[in-house]
Amino acid sequence: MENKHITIFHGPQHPGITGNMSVELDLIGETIQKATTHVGYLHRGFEKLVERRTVIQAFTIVCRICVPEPDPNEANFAAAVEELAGIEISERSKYIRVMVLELSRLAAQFLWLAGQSGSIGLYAVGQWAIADRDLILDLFEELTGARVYHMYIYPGGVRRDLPEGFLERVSKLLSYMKKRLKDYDDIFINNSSFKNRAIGVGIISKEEALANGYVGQVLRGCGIAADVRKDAPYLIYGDLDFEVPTELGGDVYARALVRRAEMDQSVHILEQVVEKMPEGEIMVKMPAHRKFKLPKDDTWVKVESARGEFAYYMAGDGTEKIRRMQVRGPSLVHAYTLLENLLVGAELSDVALIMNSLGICPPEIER
Amino acid sequence: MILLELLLMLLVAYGVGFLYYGLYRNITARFQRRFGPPLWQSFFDSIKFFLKEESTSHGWMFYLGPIIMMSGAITTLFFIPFFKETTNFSGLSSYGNLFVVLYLLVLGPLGNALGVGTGGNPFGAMGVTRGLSRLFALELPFYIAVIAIMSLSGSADISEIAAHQSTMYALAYPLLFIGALFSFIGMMGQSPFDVVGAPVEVYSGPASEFSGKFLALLMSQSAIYTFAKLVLMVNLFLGGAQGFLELLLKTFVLFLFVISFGSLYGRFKTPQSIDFLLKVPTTIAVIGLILATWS
Amino acid sequence: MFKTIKSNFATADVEVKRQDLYKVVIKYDRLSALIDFLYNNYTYKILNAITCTDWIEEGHFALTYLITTEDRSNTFMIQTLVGREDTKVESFSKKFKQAQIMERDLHEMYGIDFIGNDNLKELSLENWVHTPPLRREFDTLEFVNEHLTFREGREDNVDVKAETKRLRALKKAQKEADKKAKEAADASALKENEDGK
Repeated sequence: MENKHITIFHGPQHPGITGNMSVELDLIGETIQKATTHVGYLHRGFEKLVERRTVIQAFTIVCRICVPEPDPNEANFAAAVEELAGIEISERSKYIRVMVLELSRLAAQFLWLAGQSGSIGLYAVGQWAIADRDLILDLFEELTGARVYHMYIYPGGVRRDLPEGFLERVSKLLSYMKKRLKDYDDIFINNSSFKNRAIGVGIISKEEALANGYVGQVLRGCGIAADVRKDAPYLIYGDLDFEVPTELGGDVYARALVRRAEMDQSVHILEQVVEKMPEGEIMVKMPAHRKFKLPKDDTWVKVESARGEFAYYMAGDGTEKIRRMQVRGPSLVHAYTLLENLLVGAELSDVALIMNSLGICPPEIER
Repeated sequence: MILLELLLMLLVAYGVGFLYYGLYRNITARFQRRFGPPLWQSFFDSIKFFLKEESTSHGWMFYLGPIIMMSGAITTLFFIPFFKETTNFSGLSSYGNLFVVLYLLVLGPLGNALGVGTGGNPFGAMGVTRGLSRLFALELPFYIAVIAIMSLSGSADISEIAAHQSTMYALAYPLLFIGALFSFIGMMGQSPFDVVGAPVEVYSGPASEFSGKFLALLMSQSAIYTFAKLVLMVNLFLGGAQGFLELLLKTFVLFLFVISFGSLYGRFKTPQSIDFLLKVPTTIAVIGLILATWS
Repeated sequence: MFKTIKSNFATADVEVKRQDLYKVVIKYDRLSALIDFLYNNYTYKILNAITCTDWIEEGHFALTYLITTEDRSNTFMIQTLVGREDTKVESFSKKFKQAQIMERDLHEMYGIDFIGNDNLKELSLENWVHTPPLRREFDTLEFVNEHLTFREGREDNVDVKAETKRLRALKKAQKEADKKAKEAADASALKENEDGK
């Protein structure tokens, strides 16, 4: 009786996937023979929408491309437009952009903690992480007016200056975070049941990672110190002092250690930014939006998001509308080339664990 | 007379079981820095489910599954006396001893397997396979400890075992208690041995296909079963109880320990949990057995 | 490096956009040769992305391949121009595994056929039978008006601009009428005064 071989859909409504996608699994018993990724539940057509819009009209929808971490999108969009139009932004707005980007990174890493601990049934860590992320979102609400989709980083600078006393509140939050992150070490990173589940699972070799163009903590978990902020510094990262944590091992536990160390580095960077924040203008004088024409040129900009290297290709055509904007998020290659190979031979219990550790975010795959 | 007593036992188990479930949700919530739902929420949820219709039907065996589970839970409850040194609330325990109870403990997963198998849902089948493969490893340390206790008390009757404990067996023979406790954590469905119904892997495991009145039956049988297992452990290891207050106190302390343990650990995979259970608690229980029967 | 590229592969100079970004426009038949040249001699071993821009007024697609050095310090944009109708391009999925998914995306959105790619099934769209959507001749507004209907109960939905204009004109007419009425009232009051005198 051929009852052992079954095909199930892991998703799209499933507590074990990160977002709204599905992985079709062919199983014998509980071992996976073949995995096929399916996306398309979140296709909103951003790249076509942007082609009918001027820069300021496109700016309002660009942040919605990625759900857990919207700020790299805004920063990339602004950087691409500024490069095409030849605009140079002020020092203060660069520092504020770095602050917003790092706070957003920290919030996204908390969200990762919630997903990763939920995948092994440790719901306490997930609830703590969401509560701590809420404190960061409160800061964002004070600064930009919105908790998740900020629409704050505009080509030419940032839209609003820092409120009074904001930097003190950020410092208070950072000292709270430094104490709090040690709790997560005790309950999660050093938890023997997590180590039992995560060590030796989902191993990626270093050569494969380099050759196939994986980015972010996948590379760092294999021992390669890859970080856009160090390799090709943008904004003011060249002046800041921070490290790129790496681990050998290439498994889920190594990637978890890398991400945990990155949270410490984000706090460290934020402390420096708060200390060194210069005075000045926040926005250069920009032309009126119907007259802001982009030259006929193209460019490629990238930012390090919490999941890896996030890049934009933008082409202008001499009119005020954007000719082409392509979003190259880290998850496109991770969800297809990497996941379909990594899951073969794994067990059903490990699917959620592996997907969370790779940081797969479906909205940026299908835009 | 006996029927009235059985009915009262059932009502107490039903009520206290749901109260403990509500307490479980609230205490776990406090670990997670949030407030939980109202205490009697699960009770009202099960009442609501009783009033709903089922959306699917898979034949007569599908109906039989929850009914077997419920009857297993109720019969197990009737054979466990609440108090020692009295025949009040002793149910049918004079007609069956510890062996009968241990046998009845397996009825739950078996009824589950029968019903879920006909459901046709692959997730249910996966959950049931996990439960059954875990069952053997789960029972082994428990049986070893129970054998030791039976030989120490010189009897297989539960109220006599409870009455025999001048000091609690948990304190006098701690190794036996620890070995049995690991099994007990798995029997209560807590991490790290709760792989059966892991939501991120197999939706809800065996309960995936049940809706409406079936789900109400499952929730109610879970409440009654929880209380029955707690009372059994109290009688075997914690010296029994002589009044309602003492019974509630002892069961609550045990329950609190089990859920606190569960909320701090992730879950093991099925082969990992079988591996662990066959190695660590079994060894501890065997050493405890040797030490207990040697002296 | 730039001299070799210009003499052997490209028609124009290599453009240095930023310290870490170079760009060159070449003819399609030199594409794979240039990629091999950079791969073997200058450690450009990572394929970052394949993008495509539709220049409908000039009648071609601008297909851009972005490859990065092994230490990720420099990216090269290699741009070729290919035709817009019945485009057939050689696939790089044997050389770079991640090219398969990128080419699948472009195939769905632009209709470019990548020869040698063994999985060109649909990715984000489902059962799509109209023109590939990212081509410039596909007008989303026209498509929506043709194929989709608004829900019922929206017939009284007014166009915001037209409605504001109408309300403003109404207010202005009201103001004029009030002014005229006031003037008439003043005039008649004045006349009464004069008559009274």
